[in-house]
Amino acid sequence: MSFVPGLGIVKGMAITLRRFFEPKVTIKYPEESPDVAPRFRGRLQLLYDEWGTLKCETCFQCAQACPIECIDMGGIDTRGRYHVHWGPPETYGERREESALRRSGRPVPDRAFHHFQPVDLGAVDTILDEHDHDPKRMLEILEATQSAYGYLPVAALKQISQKTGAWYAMIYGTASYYGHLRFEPAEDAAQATAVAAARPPDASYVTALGAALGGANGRPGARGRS
Amino acid sequence: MDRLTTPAAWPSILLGRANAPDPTDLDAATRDGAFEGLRLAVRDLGPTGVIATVAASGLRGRGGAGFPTGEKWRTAASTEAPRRYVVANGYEADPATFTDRTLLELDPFSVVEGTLIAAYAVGASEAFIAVRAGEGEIIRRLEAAVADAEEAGFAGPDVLGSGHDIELRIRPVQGAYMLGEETVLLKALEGRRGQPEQRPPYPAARGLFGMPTVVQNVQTLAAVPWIIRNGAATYAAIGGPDSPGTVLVQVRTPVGEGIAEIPLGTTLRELVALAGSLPRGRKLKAILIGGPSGGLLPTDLLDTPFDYGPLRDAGAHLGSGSIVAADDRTCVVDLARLLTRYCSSEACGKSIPCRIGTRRLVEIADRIADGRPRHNDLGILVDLSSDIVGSALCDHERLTTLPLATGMRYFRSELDDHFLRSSCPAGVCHPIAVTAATTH
Amino acid sequence: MTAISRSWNRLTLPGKVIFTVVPALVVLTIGLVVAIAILGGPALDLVVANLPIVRFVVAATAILLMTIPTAFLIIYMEMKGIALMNLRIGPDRVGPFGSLLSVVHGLKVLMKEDFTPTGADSVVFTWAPVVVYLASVMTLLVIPFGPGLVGQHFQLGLLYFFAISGLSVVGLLMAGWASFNKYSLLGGLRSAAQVISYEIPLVLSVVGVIMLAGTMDLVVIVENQAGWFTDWYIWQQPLGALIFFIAATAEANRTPFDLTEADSEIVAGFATEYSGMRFGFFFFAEYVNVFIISALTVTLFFGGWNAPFPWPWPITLDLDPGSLGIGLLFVVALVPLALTLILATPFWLVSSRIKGWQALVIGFVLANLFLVGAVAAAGYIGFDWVAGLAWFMLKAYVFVFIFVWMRGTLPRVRIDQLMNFAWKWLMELAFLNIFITAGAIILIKYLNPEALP
Repeated sequence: MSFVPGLGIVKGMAITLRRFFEPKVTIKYPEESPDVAPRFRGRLQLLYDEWGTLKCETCFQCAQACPIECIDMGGIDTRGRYHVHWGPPETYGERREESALRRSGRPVPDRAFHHFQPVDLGAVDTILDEHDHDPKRMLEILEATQSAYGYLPVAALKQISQKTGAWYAMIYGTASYYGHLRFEPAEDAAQATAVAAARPPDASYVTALGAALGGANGRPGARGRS
Repeated sequence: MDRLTTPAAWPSILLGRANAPDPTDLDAATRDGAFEGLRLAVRDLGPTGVIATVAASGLRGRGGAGFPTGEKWRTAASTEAPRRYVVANGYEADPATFTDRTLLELDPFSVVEGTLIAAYAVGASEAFIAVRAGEGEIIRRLEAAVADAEEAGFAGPDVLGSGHDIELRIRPVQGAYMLGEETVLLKALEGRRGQPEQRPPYPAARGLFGMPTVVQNVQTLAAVPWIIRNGAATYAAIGGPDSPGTVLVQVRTPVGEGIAEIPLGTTLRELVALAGSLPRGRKLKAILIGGPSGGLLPTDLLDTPFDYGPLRDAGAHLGSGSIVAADDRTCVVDLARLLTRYCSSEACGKSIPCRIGTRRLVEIADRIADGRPRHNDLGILVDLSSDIVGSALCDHERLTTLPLATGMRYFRSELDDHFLRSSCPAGVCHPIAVTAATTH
Repeated sequence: MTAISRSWNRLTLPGKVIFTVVPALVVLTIGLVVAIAILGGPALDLVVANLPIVRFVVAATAILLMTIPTAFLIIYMEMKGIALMNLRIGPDRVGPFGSLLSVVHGLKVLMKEDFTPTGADSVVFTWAPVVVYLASVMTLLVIPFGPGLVGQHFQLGLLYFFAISGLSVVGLLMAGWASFNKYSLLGGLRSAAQVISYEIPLVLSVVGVIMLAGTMDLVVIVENQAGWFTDWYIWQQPLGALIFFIAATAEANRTPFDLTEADSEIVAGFATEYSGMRFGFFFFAEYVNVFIISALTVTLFFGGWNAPFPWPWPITLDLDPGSLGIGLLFVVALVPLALTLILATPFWLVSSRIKGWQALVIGFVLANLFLVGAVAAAGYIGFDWVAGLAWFMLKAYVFVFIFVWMRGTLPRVRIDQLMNFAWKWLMELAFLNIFITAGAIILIKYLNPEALP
């Protein structure tokens, strides 16, 4: 208990008054950016490991888990597959609104769409009718779409997503997982070789096994890394 | 794939009708005993009787894990659910093994009948047979078999007057090695991304579309009609004490390869001998058991019985039933590296120990083969393998560690040759010669 | 049109009332002014005949209209002031420096769902916030904003003030009871207990001022404090002022006595079941209350509308713009233009990055400021009520700032500490103050009979 009652209050108020005139510590994001340590784990960017490999496996779990579907994949992944570049939404609000529109069945204005060639979606609609617009038969729908177009065009995937109600992330995740589905036309030789190099088809394993055994299917002798 | 000649004393349970001229001829097959098991099941045993018989026989899953089949069916049948499913896994993930495919090709009716019996026993209304999409002939034969079965009343609505509807469909799948894993196969059937799920809950409790699902290898299901026809005790008498019955194996040696049906418990020596003996001047060096994610066993262990338990103790894995005998032209390190690389590239990426850990295993294997290991590489290899096994989401990553782990365990001298002495005994790798000063 | 109808549909009933009544009042006032201007004589005679009524209506309208911008301003001050004290920035994005945020808050409050809990007494439930609001706002009628600027000149102004502000207890109890929520009831009882406990020291502390001034008339109290700032009653009643200030803080439910509205206590507070505009009324009532007690503090102890120094020389500003005749038109047209150009030129010259039009805009803004300042200065010098109003508002807002400052600094007291303080300390000190003041007055009268009235 101090001698003068209320002195504590006065001292406290003096402190706050001094604070009133001190410089503020708020960082006005996004005009200003905070300084973060190099190992900061909160950055919204993909990281590379020390050998230059992208750490992201494109397993799509983040996109599938995101309740507002604001994550998209783009670029070339570790397996050399070229993924559709969707483009990030400008703001959170835009993404939510688009998602809500899509789920309500209304067409969604797609700002990134114009980057891609429009395709005739009649084939997709026929396929969807055959499969009863059932999202549980997604793999069959995708295989049928690939046999109709030769690859999986973005426009077709969007249409499937709209008509079946399945999340685009889910469809994309399914399509990018199975080795026989591709997003680029088969004529793209460079892409085909890149994919084959990163994710070798079964035939190459069989050949390599034969070579490693040096047995009936391969020739004996030295060779380099198979 | 050729059939190897086996001793006459060995029973022919799975390949009993394999010599039929037309495997899709229902009448010929019926004369030979096809669908007799289904009739017995419906008429005499009933669903619970079937499960009891299968459990009593001691049949274990032939997909590689060896889970008792009767228990799986019992779990599925006793879980309360509006629907149940049966999935026959004919997708042979190992590209170099043809055991399941041979069975499907030579005797589709046995698999169809086994699936129908399983569906009847657990109360499933829909059953799927998953096969590789690239095998056009197998799909054709299976579809013909299913159509014939439906016509004859063995499948479809009200099977044999039992009141059960069983709709049987053939589903070709392709696109990933992981489709051999049961939860991944179920995802593919649901049209979703093929990433495994945490187990428990097991598919027998919650599987396809959330319903109890029995996922069995086609070999397991093909044995079921025989068990019903000939009794559980007869089946239990064949094979080993814990693992009765037979299994299809594919034996490959430098001189020949082929498929044989063997009783479980046969020693590896006998199996390798089935394919013929090596020419003079060549020696056996290592036996690769179980396909790409299998273990490499040395020749000292040739007397190991081909059975779930003993192989696991030795560090290998029954897997797809592939037995590859490698002679001294093979470099174990190179082989292990190849297998690990294949498994790592086929990983789905969901689990971090698998996605990153197996990649590190490949990098370590590459470094060892190149003769430029880091000083702690072997220690990391041991720790990494045990961490992966301990924290794994599915068996794929556990088994990916097997080639290098068994390599470390049994072929240490060859590893040492590579990175201590910069030499490859088989002459396959070109380990860089480094001076003693820079090797730690 | 659909935009308007959609927004109209989104408003709750109180919102619809406000958005009809307020424009109606504005239109009425304008209509009255126009009527007087056009019809001239007859309208003016009507007004003059009923001058007291007209005066009252105008005062009431002005007061009601004034409370809303005041509340907005004080809310903004509080958000910004506390933020700056916490080394944050506070509202920043809505409007320049976030000044429009409280307006947006007000609109938001109008648009929220307005529900009555099941089982609540809906009449009482609806009228409770109105009672609390009116109990605060009606007291503004007697506060002198400037010489001649008082709503109603009561001789018992101070009594009226305390009587009316005591009605807020009724409102609190109505709110607590009608919520049909036992925790709200308990919370309402607690806040009612707090308010009435602090009424006693509040009233007693003012008795000293009444004794000094000899009257309860607030206008006379302010006039007694004319002259230098040393004439203010704060120097003669320091203890009284302190007790008054503390008791008034508790009356207004401000920190450190705000446990009835604290975030952690709100579940047991009287306003739990209120949402939308009903809650808005409580909210506004509280902030208007802050202004009112600051105004009363200023009136009683700090000289009201008096400047701290007496205006040293008499100034009469004989401005007669009408004498310029037609020249007035030219002045009105040319002076702003000239000022804009004059003030824009230095900016345009000093930096090449400032383009011509930017310099003109800056010049225009500055010209406006200059002109407004000039008009204000003329008003200040020419009309004493402008000066009085300006000083009154300045002093009142200094005290509002002090309240905000206290809120940003002080921790909350518990209910038992609060009651203890009121009954065991403040009331005794207030009595002590009365005795000391009375004793001093008697002493001074004895020593110097002419000193005091």
